[in-house]
Amino acid sequence: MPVYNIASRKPLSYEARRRTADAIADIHCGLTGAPAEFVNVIFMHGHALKGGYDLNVICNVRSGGNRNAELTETLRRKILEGVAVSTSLDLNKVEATLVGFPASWAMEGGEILPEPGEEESWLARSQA
Amino acid sequence: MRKTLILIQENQFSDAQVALLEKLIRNQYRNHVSRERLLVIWNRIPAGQAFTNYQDSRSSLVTMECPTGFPQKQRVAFLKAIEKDWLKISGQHPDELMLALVEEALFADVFQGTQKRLALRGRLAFMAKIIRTVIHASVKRIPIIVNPNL
Repeated sequence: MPVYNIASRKPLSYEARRRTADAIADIHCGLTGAPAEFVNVIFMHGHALKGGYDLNVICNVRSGGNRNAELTETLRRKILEGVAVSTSLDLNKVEATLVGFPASWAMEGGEILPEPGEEESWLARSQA
Repeated sequence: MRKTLILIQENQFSDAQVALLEKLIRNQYRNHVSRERLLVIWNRIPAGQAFTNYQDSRSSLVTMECPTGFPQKQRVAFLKAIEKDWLKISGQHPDELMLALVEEALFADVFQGTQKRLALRGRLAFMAKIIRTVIHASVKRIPIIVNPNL
């Protein structure tokens, strides 16, 4: 977590996928303060998307903690813009939606995930 | 019927390992969560299509469904039980495994969300692929493993 699930109409090159994954990690960590260790980005292609979109991103992220509605909408918007740039697609051909997960429902690194904003002590424990 | 979605990387696990991992999931699910039938779908991501922490990914992502109001103490016990045995079978580092036990309403959002974004013909194409894969797996008595590309 987070898991960014990207479906596109046509395949992207490896370089474009790499750029996009890096951009998403930069945006996610920059905005939320979360560590990059567990930022996952997955790509799949060949999918006909609704609304004439060329690419769709589903952002599966932790909810609650220090993440209010304004921050999550800003995250969604910045991801949308960042992905459009990294894939060289028109902004109106890219769609991004966000799904919030309670942190306590997931485990990584052998530990239940921390509430957003409480990553420091969690990282110290899980890396001890 | 409850569902589990598992994402793994291409060429990471042998077919034997996948079968063992699925057996582990089913046994622990039965012991800790529910005796309901469990549909397990594996998404095997082709090389170069998954990234974790700025690198080509070696991670496995396991998302499982549970009833609404499932007790947190039982969830933690379940996830820890899977983690211990999964890492023994896979040889992965703990940082390479994400496990989630998600209540049915949110799980439905996740499960259906990947299809809701598709146009009708996209949905039909994807469902046809899933159905072919399920039939093949059923006949061969092997795990249901899907390549998510069309």
